[in-house]
Amino acid sequence: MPGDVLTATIESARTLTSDVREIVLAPVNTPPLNYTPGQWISLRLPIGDRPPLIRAYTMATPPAADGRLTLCFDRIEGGLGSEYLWAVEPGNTLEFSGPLGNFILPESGDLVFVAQYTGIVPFRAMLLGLAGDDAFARSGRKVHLIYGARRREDLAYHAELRAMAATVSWLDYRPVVLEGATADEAISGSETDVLEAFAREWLPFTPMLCGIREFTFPTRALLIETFGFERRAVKVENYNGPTAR
Amino acid sequence: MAGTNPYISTPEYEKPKRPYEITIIYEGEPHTFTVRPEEIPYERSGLPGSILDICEGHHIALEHTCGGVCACSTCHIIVKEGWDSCNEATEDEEDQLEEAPGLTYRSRLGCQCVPNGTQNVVIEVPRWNRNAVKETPHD
Repeated sequence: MPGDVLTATIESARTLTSDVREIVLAPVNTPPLNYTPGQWISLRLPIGDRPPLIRAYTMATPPAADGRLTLCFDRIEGGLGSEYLWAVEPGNTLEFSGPLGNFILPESGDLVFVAQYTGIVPFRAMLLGLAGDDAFARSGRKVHLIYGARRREDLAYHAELRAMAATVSWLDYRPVVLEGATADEAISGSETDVLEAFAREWLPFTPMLCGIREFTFPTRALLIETFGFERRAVKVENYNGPTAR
Repeated sequence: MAGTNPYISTPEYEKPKRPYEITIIYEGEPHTFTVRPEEIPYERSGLPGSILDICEGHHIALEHTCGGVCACSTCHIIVKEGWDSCNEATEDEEDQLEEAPGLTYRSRLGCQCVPNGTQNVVIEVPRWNRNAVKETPHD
């Protein structure tokens, strides 16, 4: 049940960029979690004045037969949850519940994924799932992925995504960076620059956006105001709450 | 990333400027506290000064599986009194609220609902929301 509290052992951890890390969890004494790519689990971290501190993290891979869960997160300076997770080591245990969330693939039509920084995580799980789906490959559906960060080295999973785009016909990968773009590695500019330039030729599609609100909200506004999407037709997953006065 | 973001500088709610009284009805029992502006935020979940923040700061275990970032509906609460002193729900909050069981016209997400202190507030945590999580489509 999604509400049950489960336990997992940290099996491995690796650093993907200067401030992004990936950990692999091996759930203890429980059958493999049956989730849909794009869903998240709720970690119950043993920290803070009154633990547990609850934080949500999206799985970075589709369900694995052995039940292992891969999470990817960025380090936020002063962020209780991310600082704690950054320091966990293999052998440590974590409590969690889930899976949860409705940011999942629609069943038909072309897709445009727009991600910034660790907003790539649910899309990576979806893409890995689609890469193993022969029916999707035969369907003629396309996925356009716009993935941005400040610098090329901030793009977690970039090499993997490039390799995937080179081997499957349905994926169109558009990495975009603000600084130091080289023509063979990434486009120079912002995610919305790329979206604005190409969205019309990609229509019709379902847009899916993931990142912090300061990124997803203006991107959604662009899709609504420039390309005529209904607000609810734009699927959005935010990683943070609203701003405060 | 690039460009000027119109949302970063836009305030979405107003924190209280004076103390006010809040009653949380939890498992049928009323718990009354005084919320003092200088004590906000109490914890690290939900908007500062939100019902979730206040509950966390007063040992009331309001569910919030997403960590209080408006990505689920498990912190569903009902505002029984003081509705006009609470910030307006955004469309994104309303989208999440639609997933909550037992929705009412006075329903809010605890992580997003911030009273501004101009009225005392009475909040009910629905019994059906205790330890509830959103069931999502999966095989």
